[in-house]
Amino acid sequence: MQEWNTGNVKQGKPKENPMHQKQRQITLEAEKTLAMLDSLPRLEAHHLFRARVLERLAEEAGTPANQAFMNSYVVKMALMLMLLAVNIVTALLIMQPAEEESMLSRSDMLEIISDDYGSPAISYYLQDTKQEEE
Amino acid sequence: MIHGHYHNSLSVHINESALQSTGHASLDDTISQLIAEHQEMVINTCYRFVLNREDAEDISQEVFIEAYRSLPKFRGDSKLSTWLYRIAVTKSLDHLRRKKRKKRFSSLKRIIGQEDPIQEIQLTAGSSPAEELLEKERLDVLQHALDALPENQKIAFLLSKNDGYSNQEIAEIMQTTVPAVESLVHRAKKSLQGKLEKIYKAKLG
Repeated sequence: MQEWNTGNVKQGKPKENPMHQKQRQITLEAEKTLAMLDSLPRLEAHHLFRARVLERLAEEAGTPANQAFMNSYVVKMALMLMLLAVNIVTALLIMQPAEEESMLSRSDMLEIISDDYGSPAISYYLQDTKQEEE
Repeated sequence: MIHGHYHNSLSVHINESALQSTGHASLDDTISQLIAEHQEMVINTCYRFVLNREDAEDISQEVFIEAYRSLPKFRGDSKLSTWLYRIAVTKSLDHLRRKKRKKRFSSLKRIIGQEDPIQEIQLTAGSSPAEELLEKERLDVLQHALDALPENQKIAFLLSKNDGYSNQEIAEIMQTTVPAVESLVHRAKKSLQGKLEKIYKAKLG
């Protein structure tokens, strides 16, 4: 066997092309990875598996119907819309007094201006200018 | 004692006419029988899809709960077991989709500097840490390649990897023909080999 090997070396057995060697390694790795699916162990169910499922089913059966209803998507959406509506109404209510306040301050301003211009000092001034004009 | 009888109950046949009955007790009995008969097949089916034992058990629980909810609606167009395995496939695919979304989100978190504290660590008993790491890496690569497959190819291929299914059963689960299943499996194998080679080419490059 040894002689045969030595003979091969002596005869200069053609070395594998590094590119081919790399490709072979890649193919081998891919095959090994793919073979993992064949070597996956066959699982046995946990001895409490059935008990756990039955327990969950019992819990589910014990759940009140309204709770299941509450979990539904439609109800969640309706609640979100209601919340949004409440928020909008609240925002409007908060903004309304502010508007009133600004209205009041505007009327106050008007009152102040009319007071200022209707004051005796101004009327005196107005009287004077009238006399000068005459 | 709930456990321990499922092997014996394999011979128990669910009387599908019992499903017509509206009585709660008969529904409970049916689901209990269904679990006993099919729990292992369901768990192993889910396991082929998600490649994680805990996830497979959780999904299997969901499968039976879904079956319990939908049992009154079961019309008997297919075998009860076929219908059950179809639920298992759907639930597993849903889980994979959720996981993909979560993965995308956690990688986004990593980019913005928030590390995800929940990291999946799967340990195989009796193997060295280096082997475990290699195995995990291979599983990740495999899962990545499987994710890239079209859904029908993935289902046909993964079900074919489960010893319990014949091509006829896979065809029934997928509501297609046996030649279509064979073609899907063949294309999936070819595509997977190509995808895996591409991944390793980039890795070993």
